[in-house]
Amino acid sequence: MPAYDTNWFAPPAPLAHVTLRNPETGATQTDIPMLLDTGADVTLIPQAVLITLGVVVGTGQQYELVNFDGSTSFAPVVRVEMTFLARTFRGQFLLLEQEWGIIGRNILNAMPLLFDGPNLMWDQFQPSAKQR
Amino acid sequence: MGVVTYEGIVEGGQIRLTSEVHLPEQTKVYIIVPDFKVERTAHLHSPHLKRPEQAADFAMEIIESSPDASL
Repeated sequence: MPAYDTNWFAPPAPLAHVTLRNPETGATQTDIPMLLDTGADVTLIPQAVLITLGVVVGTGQQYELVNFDGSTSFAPVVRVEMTFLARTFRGQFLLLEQEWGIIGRNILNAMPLLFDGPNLMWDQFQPSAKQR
Repeated sequence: MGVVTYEGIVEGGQIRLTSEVHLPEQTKVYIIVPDFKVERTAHLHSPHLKRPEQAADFAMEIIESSPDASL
């Protein structure tokens, strides 16, 4: 089971490492840290990753976001693929300028997850394996 | 551990020593940055779309890998 991250978060928080792929060129980058944030509506990826992927951010549509403190900001959008827990998610992702990204409910709601807070671990929830 | 101090500056994301010093390849160095203020950037947590109806724009196509597929 992946451990919660204690370097960036206090209290510790569930952090996944995903792979991103540019569907146009096939360029990939692995091991991108992403916070599993059930409070986030959508998924945002670190803007710095785009350099490796060779994804150019268009000057087109941006989406307005409201942070937990009520502040608002605009985030550009890109189309990439994200591999997370043996699933590839293809669609639009917002960008943010920080070291880690955020996996929001548009992806988290697609799979069962287990957050084992007391042990600071998380994993895909597999009821059948648990019953064995 | 012997320690020698050299002065350098950051140029284009690389550190250039200001004195004529040649360090052997693979020399381990430690960087001390004086008078540097860490710029604390705002971090987003639990962001919401200002217009909830835009959530449909972020619906994902999901492709499941077979369990024995090599990644």
